[in-house]
Amino acid sequence: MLDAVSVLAVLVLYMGLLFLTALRVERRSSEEGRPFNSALIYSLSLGVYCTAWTYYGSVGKAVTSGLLFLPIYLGPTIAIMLWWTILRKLVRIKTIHHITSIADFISARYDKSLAVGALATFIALIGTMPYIALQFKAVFSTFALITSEPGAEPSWISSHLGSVTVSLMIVFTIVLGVRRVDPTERHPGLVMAIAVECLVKLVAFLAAGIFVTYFMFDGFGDILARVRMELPQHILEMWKADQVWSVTWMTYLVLAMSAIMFLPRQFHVSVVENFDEKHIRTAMWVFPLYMLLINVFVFPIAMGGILKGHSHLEADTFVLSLPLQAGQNWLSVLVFLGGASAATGMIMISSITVSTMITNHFLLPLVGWIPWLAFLRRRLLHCRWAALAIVILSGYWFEQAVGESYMLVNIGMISFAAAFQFAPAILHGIFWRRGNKMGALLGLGAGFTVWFYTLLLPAFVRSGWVSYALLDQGPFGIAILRPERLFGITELGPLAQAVFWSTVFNVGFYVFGSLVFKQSPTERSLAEDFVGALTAGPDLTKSTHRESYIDLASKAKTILKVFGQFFSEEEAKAMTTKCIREAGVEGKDRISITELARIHNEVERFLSGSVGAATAHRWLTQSGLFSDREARDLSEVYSEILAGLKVTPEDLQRRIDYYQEREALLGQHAAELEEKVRERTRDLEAAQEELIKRERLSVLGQLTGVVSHELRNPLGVISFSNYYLKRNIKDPDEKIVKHLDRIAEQVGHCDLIIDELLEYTRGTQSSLVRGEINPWIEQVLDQMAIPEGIRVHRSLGRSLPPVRFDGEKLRRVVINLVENALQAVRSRVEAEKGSDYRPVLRVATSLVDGALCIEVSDNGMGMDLDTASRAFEPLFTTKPRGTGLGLAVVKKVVEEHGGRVLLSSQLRQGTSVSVFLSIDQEGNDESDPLHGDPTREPV
Amino acid sequence: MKRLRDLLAQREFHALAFCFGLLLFSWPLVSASDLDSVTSAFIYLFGCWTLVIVVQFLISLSLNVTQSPEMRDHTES
Amino acid sequence: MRKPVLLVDDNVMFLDSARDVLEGEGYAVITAQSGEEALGLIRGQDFSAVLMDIKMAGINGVETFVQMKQIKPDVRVIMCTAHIVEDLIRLAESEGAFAILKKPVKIEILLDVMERALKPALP
Repeated sequence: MLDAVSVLAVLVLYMGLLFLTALRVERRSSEEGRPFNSALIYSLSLGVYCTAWTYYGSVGKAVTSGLLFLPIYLGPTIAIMLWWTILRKLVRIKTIHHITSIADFISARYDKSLAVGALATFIALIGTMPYIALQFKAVFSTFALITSEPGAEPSWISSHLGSVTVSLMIVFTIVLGVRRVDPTERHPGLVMAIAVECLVKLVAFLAAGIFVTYFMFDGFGDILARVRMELPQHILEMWKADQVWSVTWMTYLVLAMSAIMFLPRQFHVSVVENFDEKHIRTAMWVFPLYMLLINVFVFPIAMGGILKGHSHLEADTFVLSLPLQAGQNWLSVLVFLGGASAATGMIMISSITVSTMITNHFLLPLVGWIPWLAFLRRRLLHCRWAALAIVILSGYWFEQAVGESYMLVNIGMISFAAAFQFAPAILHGIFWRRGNKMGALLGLGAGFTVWFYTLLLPAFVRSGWVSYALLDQGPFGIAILRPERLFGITELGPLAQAVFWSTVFNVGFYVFGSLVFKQSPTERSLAEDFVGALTAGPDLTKSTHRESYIDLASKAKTILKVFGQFFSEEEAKAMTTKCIREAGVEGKDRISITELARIHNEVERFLSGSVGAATAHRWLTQSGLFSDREARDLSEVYSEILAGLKVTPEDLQRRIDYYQEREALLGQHAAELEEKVRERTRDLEAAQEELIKRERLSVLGQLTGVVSHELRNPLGVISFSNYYLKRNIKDPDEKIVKHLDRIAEQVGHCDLIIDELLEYTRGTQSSLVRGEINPWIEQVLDQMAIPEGIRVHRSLGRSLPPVRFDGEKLRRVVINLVENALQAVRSRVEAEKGSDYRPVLRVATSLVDGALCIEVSDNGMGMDLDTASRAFEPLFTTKPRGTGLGLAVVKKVVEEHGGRVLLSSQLRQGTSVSVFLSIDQEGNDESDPLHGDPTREPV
Repeated sequence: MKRLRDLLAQREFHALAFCFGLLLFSWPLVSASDLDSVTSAFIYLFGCWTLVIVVQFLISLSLNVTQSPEMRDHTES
Repeated sequence: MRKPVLLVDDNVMFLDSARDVLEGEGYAVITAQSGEEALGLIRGQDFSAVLMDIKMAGINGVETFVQMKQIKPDVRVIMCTAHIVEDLIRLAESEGAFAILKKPVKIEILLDVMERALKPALP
């Protein structure tokens, strides 16, 4: 036997460790922004199904009823086959409608009816309270067993164990599960603690089983063989005492099937605490395996206890007493901890979910009706605490009051039968659209009434609270209404007939009510949501994203944090406020998913403006502004929109592609247009410039016309007079001759300038005459004065076709080109005095690409790139004297001919200018440079 | 293999397995009439139970959670 | 003795200078200050050649040339001009002007053209 203080210390230490684990999990999940959860933890937490009733009671049941303990686990095992449809649907609906408990679920399905919610809460409370009492009893009795010393005075702890345990449970449950009001009702820390407890109880039970089977006996075979040989006859008699064994078996099977989902605590861990649908997938085989493992040693332990000569009356504690009596203290403590785990896990989950129901479905509606209770609304958390304490305390009170009565032993199945009353409302609710509020109310009410009358009332009677006459003679002596033989059914036994009648009444009234009464439009839409939960469609999410369930304040905090990364606190605050205002949700407490999306866009827009779109996007993505669920809701909103579009995904992709392509094309097109506009603008500017130049030149032309005439006459006179003087001067001295020559030369120069000016400013009219170019060019060259020492090489192509040209104007071209060439070679001669440089000019005509080419080249100074590129500009000159119009005139004239000019030059190598005249310009006497071929001169 | 997976993933198959399980664990196959039948029923029940868990394991492998975004990396569709 | 050369120009100074140069080269020179005067002169006597400005006050050089041809069909007329008056130049060419020179006339070219003009036309 063990010391009470150490056992309690171990228990408290164990709970403390659980608490630390839970705390760590909660901290981690809040740090990571997502619940810390895994499929395995989820699956293990479902093991809360196996309470102390399983842990200790199964062995007892095995002793008293043989294998009848098994359907309690076989039922869930086969029910789990349907989880992928049923449980997944429940979870999906839970996520969409933010269901917090089983009562909430039923109420939400049936028009959010307060009455339905309150009724379901009442059933859950009545069904749970005795069950909690059973757990307390298990803890107390096993504690007594493990610490009791025959003959010794019970220690202080033993006598005050009840209040100590209850206080511990209340504090621990509040700290783990109800520290704050969480709208999702998910408690990752609590679930972790439950999972650990489930693991501990499994390990403990397996340890006990292995100890009994393999250490006290020689394994399964040994036990089974000895049972066959030695089993006391009275045990078998006891098993056979149940006349309706097969009916009981099936009843247990059916009740367990519903219990695994519809016991309030099972609903809580499997539906409300579910974080991810995929966890169901894993749980579908892990949980049955868990149940198998925890049951595999039940029968051997039971038989082992009997074989060791223990009384069948102690069978409920065989698990603990066998190792204890074998002197295995540590194993005993482990087994005790396992049992405590089973009990506390059940108490915690049940009390949390029932207290949630009480506050949400009793208290809050009450507050709505009674104005002076309004202050409670702000004290929701404290209300939850109070409700939780009341649930646990009432369980404790029940345990103290009822004690060892019949009721406590059978309360497990009675609770199952209570949970079974939820099944019609829930299953019909998710599969039958027409099930309605009145049906649910009537069905639940009738089922609960029958359950109360046929199961709970007899339990009260057998506990001695109500006169036994009720069972014997029926109420007021009406035999047909005897609770355990209702309407005369005697063959089934009390439990089976209770289940039978409650089912008949529940389902009957449910269907009847649903058919007689009409659904309201909102209920119809809710029913549609629930029934179609797994087939995501527009109707499914309609109510979701309209529903405002997101806490704006916490989102604002997140946004503030994001802004805080980049701005001062005040700025960040101002920006956050502004974003929320821009999104149009200012002053709201809770917002819908679409509104959150709007805020998100505002924030991103805001942030993009400051830190660039990419950074903004990255930071916002990291900020976790959208929780996983909200992200899913948002994508559901989008999928609704898409579904509304009624396009196939391929079609949609195609359309998106099309629009993207179109956008790209439009962008490209816009760029092209812009380029075209720029080009046109450039052209227009050039044309305008040209026009201005022309205008200027035409004024200039008239002016130069007048001036040149007025100048040429005097120049003519001067040159004649000069000539006369030179001829007639007597004994001319050298200087006089020099000056007379200079006058003649300067007159010639003046004349040249006037020529160029006139040429350049002359109108564009040309008189093109068809003719051979070679004889003409020979004549032009012949008329030119070529200085001594410069060779002009003529290389005139043979059989050139005739071209149309203006002889007078083209002469100017040739003269200008030759004069430029002469200038260039003269410069080089001067620059390279003394070298063996030989100036050579070359004038060539040829046929190039269907055009007649007149090329004038020299081996003179050449030009640098800058000069060459500007050579054709009017008034550009490198010569000390000159108008700078020479090449400009060339270009102008050639372009008037519809031809083009090419200049290539290399410094100190020479220059070559080619004039290309088109040879097929028949019938095009006048060519307008503005509309003619606008060739540019490549340099 | 794919055909098996497709079979196991169907809801109708789940319903069938459910009914079959119900039959396996029903009273005609289990009784408490005498001790021999109890021990053999014990072996029978746990054997069937194991079988059912294997089937459930295979079913869970075959299921795709297309609606759940976190699932994509776990399913090979 | 060669027949004189007729110079027609409304610029008196040019007339004078040109006469001096040509006389220095051995030509007999008679001048006229306008087309009308030139026409009057040509009716009275033969000239071996006529050097005439195109642009003149009164009737212009080409007009004068056309009328001259009616009086003396075989007259050889050298036109000269300071302007680029293309129509008139083209007209003069088509009317058969012996040469068209550009002012300021290069004296060497003028003398060369005169020399050729004075040669008897080939039958």
